[in-house]
Amino acid sequence: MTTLEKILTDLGIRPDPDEKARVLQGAKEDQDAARKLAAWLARQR
Amino acid sequence: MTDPTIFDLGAALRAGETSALELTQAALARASDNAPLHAFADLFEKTAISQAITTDAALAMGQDLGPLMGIPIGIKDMIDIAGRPTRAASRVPASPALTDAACVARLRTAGAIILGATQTYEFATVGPDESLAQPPARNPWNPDRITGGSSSGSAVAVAAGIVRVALGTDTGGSIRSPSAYCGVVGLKPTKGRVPNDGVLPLSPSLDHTGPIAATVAEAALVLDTLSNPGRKAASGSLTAGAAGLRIGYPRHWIADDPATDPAVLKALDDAASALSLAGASIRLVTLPDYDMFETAGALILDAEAFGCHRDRIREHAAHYGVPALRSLLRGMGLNRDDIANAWEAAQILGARLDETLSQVDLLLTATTLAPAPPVAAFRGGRAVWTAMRTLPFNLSGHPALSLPCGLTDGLPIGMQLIAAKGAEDILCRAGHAFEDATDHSLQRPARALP
Repeated sequence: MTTLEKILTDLGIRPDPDEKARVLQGAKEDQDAARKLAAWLARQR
Repeated sequence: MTDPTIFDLGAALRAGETSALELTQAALARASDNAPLHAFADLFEKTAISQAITTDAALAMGQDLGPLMGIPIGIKDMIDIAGRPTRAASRVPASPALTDAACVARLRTAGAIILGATQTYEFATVGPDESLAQPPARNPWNPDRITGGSSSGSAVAVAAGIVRVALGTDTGGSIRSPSAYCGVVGLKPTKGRVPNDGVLPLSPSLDHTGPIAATVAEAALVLDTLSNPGRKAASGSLTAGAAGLRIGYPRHWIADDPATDPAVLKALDDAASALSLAGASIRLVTLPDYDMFETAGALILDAEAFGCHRDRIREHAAHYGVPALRSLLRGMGLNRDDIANAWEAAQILGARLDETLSQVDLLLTATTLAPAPPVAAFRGGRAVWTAMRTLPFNLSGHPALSLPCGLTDGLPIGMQLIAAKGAEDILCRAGHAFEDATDHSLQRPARALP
């Protein structure tokens, strides 16, 4: 189980597989954006 | 013929040509005529009429609370009204608010009539979502197009002429984008100018409360009523004109984005010309890439929104609409370093805005890069990206004003002016001068739906 899946489980959310994939995709997009921002910041420093 | 403004209505009220009761009954009748637009989640017929009767009695006794006295106003259903659950368009259970939000209390003190709670996207997140308990508000210019959100009902109530002004909240553009899509004026104040006490939080660092109005002068009047003490009046130099104002135009923020509708770029160019003809000096300025503003802002918003709703989701996940829940869960995987980085980026980007705004009085950009997209694109809980230029100023805290600057295919286009923090007077002065120089703010949709 991934960290994101564990958070969903902890919240008591059990979406159907399609919806679960969409939710995890959204959260992953935010994590990717955070990495992109960190790279941009590193160039600014 | 143009609709009477708050100032016209106030003059008629004081001349004995109308009464607060008549104004309130007329607003309720317009709300009823426009019921298919779903601008209001709740209309407070009894309490509004009772308040209007009390107001008329006070006026008859010579008690004058100022220009908002007897004026009906809508309140976004994210803002507490004593005795009523703030439902935020959600099926998630809510208890009645014990007191009015601070902004509602200030309106009541000024004698405004609280007409009803206006529709919102669920918890001010995303929409429209047709699966919620109440249908979403509909755009009076074309009901097949979205209203924008999340202050959807407030913008619709003003655009349809039900009220002259309604309150909204704005975390990433939620006052300004529906104002742009519905052809009205939206004013997001400087961070901290208007208290958020009693407003449901979405992202406390980015949340702002402010007015949506038919004209800039009316938005300024309401903002001054809502503002904390010691702030420069937004209406302080309203009629000073555009002459002498220095306006920076970061045209690249619009022209370089493939999401931009050419009609929006043309409308912005035309707006720059109109302000120039009115005496402002326009210069092209370069701002940092928009993407980084949006990335930093979205990360903070998503992390805080998840934090605000985590406990509620744990208890009531099944009551949330699918799009709202999906949106609120985006931030669940972000960690402390991610948020620290986003704030560090916000500091850098905000400083660049401050630096530019030390060389010009205002910035001019679009509110949204295209007119309102079709409702059909959002059906089935689909996520649709609507490109906007609003979030940077939630992140930086600068005041920003959206106002109509044209139509394309019968749909409104909104321009956005941004001023230095605390300079709402300059913002409203320029906006008012633009309204004077053009006829865009006079354009109104056909009223009731068939």
